[in-house]
Amino acid sequence: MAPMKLYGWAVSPWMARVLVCLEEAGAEYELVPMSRSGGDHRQPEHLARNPFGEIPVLEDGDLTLYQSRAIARHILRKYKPELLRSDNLQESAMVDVWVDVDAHQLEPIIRPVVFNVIIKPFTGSDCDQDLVDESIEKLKKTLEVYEARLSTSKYLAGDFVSLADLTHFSFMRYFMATQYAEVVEAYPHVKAWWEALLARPSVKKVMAGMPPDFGFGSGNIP
Amino acid sequence: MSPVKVFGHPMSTNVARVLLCLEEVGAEYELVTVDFLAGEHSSPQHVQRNPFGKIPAFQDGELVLFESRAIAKYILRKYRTADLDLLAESSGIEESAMVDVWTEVEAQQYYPAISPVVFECIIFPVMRGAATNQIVVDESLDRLRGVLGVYEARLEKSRYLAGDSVSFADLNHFPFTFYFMATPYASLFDEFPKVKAWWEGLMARPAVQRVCKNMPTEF
Repeated sequence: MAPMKLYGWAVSPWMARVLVCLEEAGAEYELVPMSRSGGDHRQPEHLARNPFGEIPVLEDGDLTLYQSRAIARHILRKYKPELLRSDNLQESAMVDVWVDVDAHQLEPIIRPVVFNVIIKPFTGSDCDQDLVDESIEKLKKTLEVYEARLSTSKYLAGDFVSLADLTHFSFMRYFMATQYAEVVEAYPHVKAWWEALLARPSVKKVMAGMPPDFGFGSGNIP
Repeated sequence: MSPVKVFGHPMSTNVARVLLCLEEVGAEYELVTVDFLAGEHSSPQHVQRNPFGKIPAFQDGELVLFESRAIAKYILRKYRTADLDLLAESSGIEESAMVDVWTEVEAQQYYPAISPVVFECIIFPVMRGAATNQIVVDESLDRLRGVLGVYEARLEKSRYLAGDSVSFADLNHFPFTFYFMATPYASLFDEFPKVKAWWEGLMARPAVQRVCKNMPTEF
């Protein structure tokens, strides 16, 4: 059987979300690099794979999938279902809760901070400091919930690592490279949980392809 | 078996998402009203169930959940039968992957395009007495038009979004589309005949009709 193909650029946090799952699953895959600055994702060849013109895209036999969380679930369902807890009704629900907390509570807060603090200086735009400050205040309130959760539970969905934890890695990787990392580090259980994620071999491997400046500093922009 | 409990308000889009799934599977449930207009979602009692102070929250015995899509999936799994598997999790890995793709598409492509129109035309005026920001509306309608173009092409090849059977992916579109149809921009869907027919098919579902009864169409 041909290995799965993942299209995109490895510095993308959406791409990295999937890469971590591929590595955790030990699945065989081929990374097909695409150029963001070259507009590969807007070309007809790619639109035939993903009509929304985005990456990552996964090809697995006859199946072509997009949306990073859908791809992640497919990979784990196929190769490592224990990371979804699909055999347990209550545990799989807890995994879903915290995957969605990342998607709908945390990511919408940290993404604009990463965009304004890391990317905008390189693209010649001004950092919207008011938005960053507002986001940091929202982040503190959100992290209180995480701290309370991780004070009674080793990982987010329970005492087992799951997609809920792994899905947080890629955007947090960039946030923690900003001067606002100390905001997260002020919460001891969140800090310990984050350090445990960083220690995972899958995470180390994927992080190696994610320079903290997205490659702008070295001129290696995708 | 005691009925499951949903904490929220039937007017809320995210509560409606959960109620629709309960109605589709025919589960026995109790809706405990949380008066969000009076700020009840911030009360200590509610925050104990949903630490983010939002609605819905959900309880089934000792299990307490929040995040409407996670709640909905739990319900669809718990009450799944051979004839009713709206997540397609027992169908096959390809079918369930397609449900996941189009469920994510609703959350990440459709919702960001359609919801600002609903917020600007209905929710902000009703809840805050705010005036509609027409620039936001116009930008969102442009974005939505692009998204609906993709949906039109999909529904030309597929009876429902994830395949030939209705699924959670389709149902997720109900709450915000319902309110969008109460804005002055409903006729946008006329430009996309397959999408319009798909929407009318969803609206005709008995479970959808039951949930609609508690959702206002005039504001």
